Amino acid sequence: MQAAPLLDAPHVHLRPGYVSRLEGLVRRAAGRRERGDLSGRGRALGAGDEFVGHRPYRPGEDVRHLDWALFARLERPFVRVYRREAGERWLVLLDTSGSMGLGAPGKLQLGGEVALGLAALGQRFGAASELLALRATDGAAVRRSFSRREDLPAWIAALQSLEAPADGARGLGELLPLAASGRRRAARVFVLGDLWDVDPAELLALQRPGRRVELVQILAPHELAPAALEREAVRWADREHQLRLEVRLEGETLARYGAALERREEAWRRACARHGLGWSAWSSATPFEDVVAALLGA
Amino acid sequence: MAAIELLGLAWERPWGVLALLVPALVWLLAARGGRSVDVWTGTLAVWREVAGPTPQRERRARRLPLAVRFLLAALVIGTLALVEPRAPSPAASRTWTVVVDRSPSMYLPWLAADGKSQRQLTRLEHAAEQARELLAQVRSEGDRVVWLTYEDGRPARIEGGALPQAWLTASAIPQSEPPWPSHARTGTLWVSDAEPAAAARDAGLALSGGAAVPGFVAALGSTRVEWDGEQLRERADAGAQPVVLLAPGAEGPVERVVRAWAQARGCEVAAQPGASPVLAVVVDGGARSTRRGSGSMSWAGRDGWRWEVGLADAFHPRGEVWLREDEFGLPVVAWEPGRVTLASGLYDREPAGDPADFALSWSALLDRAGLAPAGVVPLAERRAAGAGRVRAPLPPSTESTSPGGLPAAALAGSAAALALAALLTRRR
Repeated sequence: MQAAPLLDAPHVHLRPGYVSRLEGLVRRAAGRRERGDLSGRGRALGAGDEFVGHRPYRPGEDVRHLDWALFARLERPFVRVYRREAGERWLVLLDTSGSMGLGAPGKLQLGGEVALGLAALGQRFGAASELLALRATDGAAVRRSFSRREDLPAWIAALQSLEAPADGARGLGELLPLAASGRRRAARVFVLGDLWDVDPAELLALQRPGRRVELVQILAPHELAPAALEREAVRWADREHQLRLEVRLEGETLARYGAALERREEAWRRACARHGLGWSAWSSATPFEDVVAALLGA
Repeated sequence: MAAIELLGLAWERPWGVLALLVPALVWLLAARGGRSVDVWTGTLAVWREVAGPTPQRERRARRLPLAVRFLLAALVIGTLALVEPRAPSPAASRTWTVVVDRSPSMYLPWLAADGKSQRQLTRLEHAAEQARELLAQVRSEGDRVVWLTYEDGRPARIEGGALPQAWLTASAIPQSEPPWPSHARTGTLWVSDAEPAAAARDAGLALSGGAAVPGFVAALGSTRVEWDGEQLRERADAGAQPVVLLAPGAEGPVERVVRAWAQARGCEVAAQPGASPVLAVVVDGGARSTRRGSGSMSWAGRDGWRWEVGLADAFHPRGEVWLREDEFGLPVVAWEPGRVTLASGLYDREPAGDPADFALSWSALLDRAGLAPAGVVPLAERRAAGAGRVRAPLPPSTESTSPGGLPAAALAGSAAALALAALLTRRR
């Protein structure tokens, strides 16, 4: 019988300190807005009809949104931010495929924390969020809305009920069709996952005029830097397809791996920039506050 | 358990090999633990791209971690230290020392009491034969024999069963007798012609003896003074004129003294080496050195005279120092039989004081340093050496030779160092 592979982390555990951290994140973002760190009276951030302010330009974004006058004055790029009068709707797609159930900390763990962080901050600024994920047991969709503070416990419960099964391949490919109705109304779509088991074309197709799509790729620390395992030989195991591959973590092999990973990331970066999607890659060891702040410019 | 002999080695603690079970166990555990560990990843596709799709490609010999290899080496060497292998102790051996007299008398023909000899042997060869016979009587298998002589006052040793062939020829510089009192102990055999004045005590004797050997005992130019065994007689033109080599660089008062001395002794002065001179007066480093500048001028003196000389390079003389400069005591002139050497520098200034004192002082030096021409042997050497005598030496003390095993301390130290290396290189 084969031993269970290491770094198994299939669940989301939102520890007691998480809520206080979440509240701190919301407070800080609100405070910055009130101090005028963002020009204008914005209550929500995104592309819409009403101009509400500026935020820093992110590489790959459509330069049509750049405020050139501000750039000329400050010599730093900022993007004009708009808000729909009806209030924005955000969609948060959380990948719960088997490959998300690993890492130290786990990738699904960070995905859950970021999802709730986005929803909380969105709620603070007037956006209503919807979480969409797949249940491990039967593959049914898990949906939760977050438009009031009172919705927080339900989101927490929903997130902690999620599991990335070791034998399941219920990834974003299965999730996207279920999100068809929800995403039609969404002004912003956040896709949280490792993006390994999805057709890139399906994600790129999410982009619509007036919609902001953010692809958030989450990788485990040992996926980004295998040398950190400090082992000479490792048998890599794939949670979704139960495949294994024995590899010696030697200098040349590690260098080739790093280069291959970089090529894939660069391909994502270019494709997203061409199609006007936002893309970012994060280690699952990153504090969720940093990810949320970078995504929302808070 | 007593020591045992195995594989040509003596094992002091043979039961210690049981300790090899420990590194064997460590190796087994490490080999098991060194297997690759299973780790979940979502990037298997990337690894396949990098490392290849088939697991068989990764089935290569697993190497133990460096720390484990250090630990295994430490355990094995530590076991070796515990077992303490040693080369088998050889039988205790003894060393016999044969002290050989190479003074001029030893190279005279050995003559029996009637003044004749049936064999063309020198006194040295005759004494060496006696020594060989004595050693054959007293030596045991495994005993060492060391032949010892003195050359220019310094001991020279050669190990072997017979007198070294090179010693059968007299050296160009006459040697003095060995310092006999230093070798009056067991395991020692004296090889000489006449009975030394010092008491041999426990040393053996191989004394050739020998009748007086008439011949030339002194020289004055080409004139030789011959001793017939009873009287001395001068013989004109009996030999080649001795040559004194005066090398360039000593121009000035030294040159004048040397030439005067040579003339008085009937010697010819030459500037280039040719036939063996009886005396060479040279400047260290050659004449070139005097052209490199005067260096620092210093005063040196002795025997009532003083002399300002310009020393150039450092002088590391052979032989005995005869003159030093006043300020730092640096050597200026040194001598040895057949040779007087001046430090490189300038010597063209006239000495202060009575010029006669300078000349006499230098002449005495030249007389001491000068060699007798070939064939001229001092009278004392030519005299009869007596009847000869042999006496077997008392055996030397037994030497406990080292068994030659690897010291346990060194092995233990190596094991400790390897263990430390294992600690430092372990993965955390």
